[in-house]
Amino acid sequence: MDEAKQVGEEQGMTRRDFLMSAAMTTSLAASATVAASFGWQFVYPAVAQIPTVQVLALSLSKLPAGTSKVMKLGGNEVLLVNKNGAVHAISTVCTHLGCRAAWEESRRQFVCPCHVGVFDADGKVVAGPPPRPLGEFAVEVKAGNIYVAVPQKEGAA
Amino acid sequence: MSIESTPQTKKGWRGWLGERFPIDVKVYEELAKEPIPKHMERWWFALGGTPLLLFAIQAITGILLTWYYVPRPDVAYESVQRITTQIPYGWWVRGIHQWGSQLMIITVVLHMLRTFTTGAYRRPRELNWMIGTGLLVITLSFAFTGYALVNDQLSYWATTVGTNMFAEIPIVGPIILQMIRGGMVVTADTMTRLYPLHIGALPTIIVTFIVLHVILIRFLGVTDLDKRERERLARAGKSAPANGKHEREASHFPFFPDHMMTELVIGMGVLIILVNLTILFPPTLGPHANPAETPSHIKPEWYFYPVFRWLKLFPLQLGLAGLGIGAACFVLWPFIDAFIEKRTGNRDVNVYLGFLVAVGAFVFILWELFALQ
Ligand code: HEM
Ligand code: FES
Repeated sequence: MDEAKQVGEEQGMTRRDFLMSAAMTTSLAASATVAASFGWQFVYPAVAQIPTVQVLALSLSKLPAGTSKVMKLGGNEVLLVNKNGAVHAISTVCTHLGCRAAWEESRRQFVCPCHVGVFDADGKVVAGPPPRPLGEFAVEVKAGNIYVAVPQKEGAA
Repeated sequence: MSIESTPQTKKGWRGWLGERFPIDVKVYEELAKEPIPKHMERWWFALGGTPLLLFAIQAITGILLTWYYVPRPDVAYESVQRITTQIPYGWWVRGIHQWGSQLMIITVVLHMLRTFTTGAYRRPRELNWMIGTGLLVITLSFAFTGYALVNDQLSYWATTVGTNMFAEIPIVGPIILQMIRGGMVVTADTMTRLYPLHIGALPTIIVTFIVLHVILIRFLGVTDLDKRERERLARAGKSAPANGKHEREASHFPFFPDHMMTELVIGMGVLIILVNLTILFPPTLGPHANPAETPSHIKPEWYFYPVFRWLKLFPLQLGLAGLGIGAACFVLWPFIDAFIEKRTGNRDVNVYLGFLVAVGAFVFILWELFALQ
């Protein structure tokens, strides 16, 4: 027994020492994990997903086939297009780096002032660096009225 | 040197202080007089101290601004307006801080350009070059987070576009984006996240980096260009005069007071420029931030023009990947340079490349300045 202990000491550590430091390391790691998870919850944004709300845009009769209209819906700028009876609501948030593309009625295109991305009336990229077409909001026509599901504003900015 | 055994040789306050703060002033005087190579007399070589001076000015004016600035999106804009139009000399403090930030960026870039084109990053100074690239990134982060605090239209959209770039980082991008913004879009929580970065974290980090930078300069000394040239000649088999003791004296001069004087003169020049810019072009404030509309003439601050134009030229991912690769090459340049020299024997790539990148960036700035779109 004595000899065994001596061998252990020569190797730098007894079994008791080893178990002790293993236990300490494990509990330290466990508490660090708990602390890290609390810390993460604290710094991670409270609102990760913006909820959508359905808002009344206008009556279908005001948007005959082949026409379009820019509207502000719940703090979002939206282009409503009536394409042969099917209504589309196109977001003006540029898919490049998030500026607002402006609808230019004369050329019937969206132009983003930031890096000159250009989109057509369907939201497809015509020119410039944007990687994707403009986003679309879900549209529902109920009792002759157009409703659009838009993101609720996350807070005053 | 044991403190106990040191007899109190001096009387009066020097003796009192010497006993309680036991440093040997002579050693430090000796250190301050350290001889440095002759070429450091030229201002082009002595630009490293200028960003340090400007940082001190930023710290002072920045702390003054915090007395009136309120980092809440509903009132941030109004508080900057109050600083600019109502607080006595508020426009002055804000103007110095604004122009100081631009001069700080210019001097950091000039200092970098000189260390790059003179090959001062070569072995054994690779780590100090990398610390230097960190200092440039920190300086630009200061400018970005500071600009975001103003909360006028340009500030809001610059923050939106700038933070959005993080979203494109593979895998962790969207998480980083939300962490910086405190939400999906730039919101009330964005400002309360950027503000402590600007006035707390970044100052701490920059001071740490500056201290490391200076410690390494003291340990390694500045590059002795004469000596390097002699070694190069010797390698080429040409006659190289020996480097005797007398020669070292002739080719060096003391850090204090001679080099200090050069730094002071440059510092004075920079202060004169800073004050005049602030008087001639006092700070202004655009319309209040409006998340529903991007102004049709939108541009970042001029020092971001090269990146801005670059992003207009290339599709999103390609453009950002290009920037990322460029940044990596920039940080790792000392090793790339050593590799090129080993393969080709060419030691002047840095001169051509430094010239090319500087001219390129300058052209991009002019292009953006005069471009209609
Ligand atoms: C300890 C150091 C610093 C503190 C405490 C500080 C504090 C502040 C505060 C309170 C503001 C908002 C008020 C305003 O807009 O005028 C601000 C703005 C700003 N800061 Fe700093 N700052 C520091 C260092 C720096 C540095 C080193 C830079 C750049 C190299 C910088 C660049 C800016 C910029 C560009 C603005 C926007 C200025 C404007 O448009 O008015 N700051 N800073
Ligand atoms: S953000 Fe619209 S083109 Fe860049």
